[in-house]
Amino acid sequence: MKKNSMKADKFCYIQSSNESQNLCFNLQEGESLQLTFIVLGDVKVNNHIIINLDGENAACSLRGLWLINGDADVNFDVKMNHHVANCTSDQLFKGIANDRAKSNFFGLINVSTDAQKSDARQQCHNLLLSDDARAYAKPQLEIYADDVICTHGATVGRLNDDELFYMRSRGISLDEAKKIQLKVFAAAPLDFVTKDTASHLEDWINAISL
Amino acid sequence: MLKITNLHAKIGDKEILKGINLCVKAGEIHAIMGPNGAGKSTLAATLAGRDNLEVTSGSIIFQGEDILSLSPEERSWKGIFLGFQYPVDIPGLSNAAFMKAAINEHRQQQGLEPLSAASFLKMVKEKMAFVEMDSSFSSRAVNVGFSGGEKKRNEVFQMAMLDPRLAILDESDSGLDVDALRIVGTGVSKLHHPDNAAIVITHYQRLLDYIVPDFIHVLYKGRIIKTAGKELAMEIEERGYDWIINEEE
Ligand SMILES: Nc1ncnc2c1ncn2[C@@H]1O[C@H](COP(=O)(O)OP(=O)(O)O)[C@@H](O)[C@H]1O
Ligand SMILES: [Mg+2]
Repeated sequence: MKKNSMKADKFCYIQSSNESQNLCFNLQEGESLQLTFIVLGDVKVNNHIIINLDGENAACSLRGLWLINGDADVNFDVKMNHHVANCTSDQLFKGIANDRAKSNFFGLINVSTDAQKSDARQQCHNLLLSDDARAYAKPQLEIYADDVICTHGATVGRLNDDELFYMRSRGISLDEAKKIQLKVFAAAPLDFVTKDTASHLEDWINAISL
Repeated sequence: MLKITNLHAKIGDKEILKGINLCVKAGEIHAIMGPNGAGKSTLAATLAGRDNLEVTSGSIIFQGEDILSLSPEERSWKGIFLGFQYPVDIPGLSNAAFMKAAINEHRQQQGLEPLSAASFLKMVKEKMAFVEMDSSFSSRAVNVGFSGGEKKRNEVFQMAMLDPRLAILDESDSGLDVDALRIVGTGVSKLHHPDNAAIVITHYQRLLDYIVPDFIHVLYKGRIIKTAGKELAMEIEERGYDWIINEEE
């Protein structure tokens, strides 16, 4: 496990080989951290991420996007620990899986007794493009303080036929309409990445065969 | 322009359209009325090529070509436009990006270059003004958070952008207040010219005050049971559909 400590920082991990990330960050008072994980292709990845919010007013944002295919097997295990009061954490993970690719998202939010006024949010949404693709999302909350905001949500869906028909009725071809849906779906977790990375991902989506 | 012959269509195991015959010539406006559940929207969706329904027999000839095997986008490229009864919202996709993708695919089909950003913006501005929509709607996500009236105006905006040969407008007037009705009504009527045609699905006379139809058809249980001139709308407004249904049965 790597240990890091910083004032305000931002990292982006692009994972397009079978290399996993084991990360642990301890945030002190007033520190902030933004992490983005992008997982691409037919890869086997096991990411373990532990965030300890150890000082008041620390803030952590986690973003994840996986665009996976073939026999990809992607696992995220996230532990967000609110140890003290007045910290915020927000997590947004989105996955698009084709072929036989599968993803597992396990996200624990732990808010200790002393961590009043914690604001902890977590979302994990998945889009499956084939019958054999799989996505599991398991949020887990352990809340021991009473004055907190804690939200979570997880969905697994498919391309939306009504949207597709609406776009096609305006002359947008089926292939293009699907890609528009994918790009729209994938946009939200990319709020911290560079323009270059975002346009690289757009190329990646354009190349997906549907 | 359009000739529908003995059209039968089903959704799942349920037959919804049971032998529709309809002929629309360039320059004409046809109104289709009928009680809820008659099959009006299903007919509209069949014309636009929705794939969750199955045409079991009959034909749809559009400008001399059988279009039954064509995809929705191919029908759009040929000039068919469907104004949805329930316009779909697409979170995350701006109205402008949506129309840009549509316009440029139409142009590509015609062997034209994509529109320049400037000409596209000019066109959007002009057509938004046409339906009295604030230009801020172009950067908003398609139909997301739009009121009923704004959604229907957005349909007419898209129609103005695409300039179709045949517009099928499914209850473009339902849920509209007086102002929105005026905007939709005058909008559609201004877009009408001798080379195009419209099929207007409605429950009310009030839209037909703006868009005066050449024919009114009454659809009931998947069949057209009566065809008459524009005066029929007034009679339906006063007397409902029962007398027509009784006449038929
Ligand atoms: N997706 C669907 N699945 C099953 N039945 C449907 C579906 N859409 C429409 N129907 C049925 O088809 C019939 C005609 O519906 P519709 O075309 O919407 O009527 P209208 O527009 O005239 O009110 C109704 O009985 C309706 O319940
Ligand atoms: Mg209807």
